[in-house]
Amino acid sequence: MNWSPVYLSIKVAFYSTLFTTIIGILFGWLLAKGKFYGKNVFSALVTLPMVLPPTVLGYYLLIIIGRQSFIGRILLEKFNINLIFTLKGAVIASIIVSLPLMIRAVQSSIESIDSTLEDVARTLGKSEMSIFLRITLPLAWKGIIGGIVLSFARAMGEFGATLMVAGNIPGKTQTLSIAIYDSVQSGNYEQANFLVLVISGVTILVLLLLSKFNI
Amino acid sequence: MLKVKIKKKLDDILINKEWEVDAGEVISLFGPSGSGKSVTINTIAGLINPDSGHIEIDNRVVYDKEKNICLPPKDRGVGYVPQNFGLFPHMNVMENIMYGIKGKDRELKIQKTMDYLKLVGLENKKEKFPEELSGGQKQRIALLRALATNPKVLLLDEPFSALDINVKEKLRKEIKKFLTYWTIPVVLVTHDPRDVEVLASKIVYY
Repeated sequence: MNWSPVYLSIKVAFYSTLFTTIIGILFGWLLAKGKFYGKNVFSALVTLPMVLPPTVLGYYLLIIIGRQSFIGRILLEKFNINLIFTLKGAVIASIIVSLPLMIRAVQSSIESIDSTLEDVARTLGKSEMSIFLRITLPLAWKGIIGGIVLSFARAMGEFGATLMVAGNIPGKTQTLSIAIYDSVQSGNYEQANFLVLVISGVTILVLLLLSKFNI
Repeated sequence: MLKVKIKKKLDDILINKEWEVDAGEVISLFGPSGSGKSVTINTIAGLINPDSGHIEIDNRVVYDKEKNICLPPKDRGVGYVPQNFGLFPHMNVMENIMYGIKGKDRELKIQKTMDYLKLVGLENKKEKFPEELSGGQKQRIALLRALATNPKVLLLDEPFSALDINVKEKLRKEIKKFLTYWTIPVVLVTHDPRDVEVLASKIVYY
């Protein structure tokens, strides 16, 4: 059995979830508590990846970070960083696809906190940062854990956007879902069955984790 | 001393009040629900801005529309006890009180907190979480937490409304005695005449 797609998917999902968690908490908090011009547009933009087909997202990413793009050229020429057909590209694709799940989970969790608690903390002389770290975050932990688990699962199963951005290079960018597709295409059902079992196991584990935390 | 002069237009009422209260006095904002009492103390705390006016706490202007002064809640020096007590559910009694005490010396903070808890005879509850406390105990802890920051004014929003009728009377007397330790102005929002009778030295009708 070829375990490489499993390792690659876990690696991509790990890094993707790491960034998704940080960005998701920040954006979720902004959407729950922030008062700023264009909030609705911002909200729609960060939710967009949830409704757009992943291949379309992948195409956008190619346009934005591809070698011919403004960002892609700067990264390549100034920092010698190429994102296309690399694992880094796969991580970026997974972040974009799973970010809305994290943001929505954190946002609804923060919105459900009794705002009186934050008001009391303000009158106790606390800064907004202290309130965020000591009151808001600990009270929103269920949403955060739920978001992390869902984002990880989404990143593990990511296909369309990853294929567009990172391609299908065995041992380099061929993640689980892409390897399953590839195995079926080449008639290697033994490998396909094995990979399907792995991803199904991970998904069941995720659901069990969610129910354990009552999320 | 606390001086309040505010105007605030809400959906169906206009709050237009001017009053002041000295240190050691308890002023009661008395009136039916929805008359703007809670909004008034929220403007004192800086949680809501009035449309216009002037608020002075301990001879320091914390809000003045004309002079464009509006200090944030954290810099106003108010102790605030909301209607549902607002205890942090993820912190135990000790942590709830310690959270507001300034300074970096943890041992000193613990000592202070224990001293406060002894004042109300709840030192044996220090490791309990809010959900494990009775209504009366929650109220005392919320009060201690607000006073532990050494505020210049204490704001109590319907402090007895969430309690059983038989606990209320006992607590009114207990709090009256307890407040004598702090010589600061106290603002008591209530719609219960008995609260006014037992605790207040001044009344403003809403």
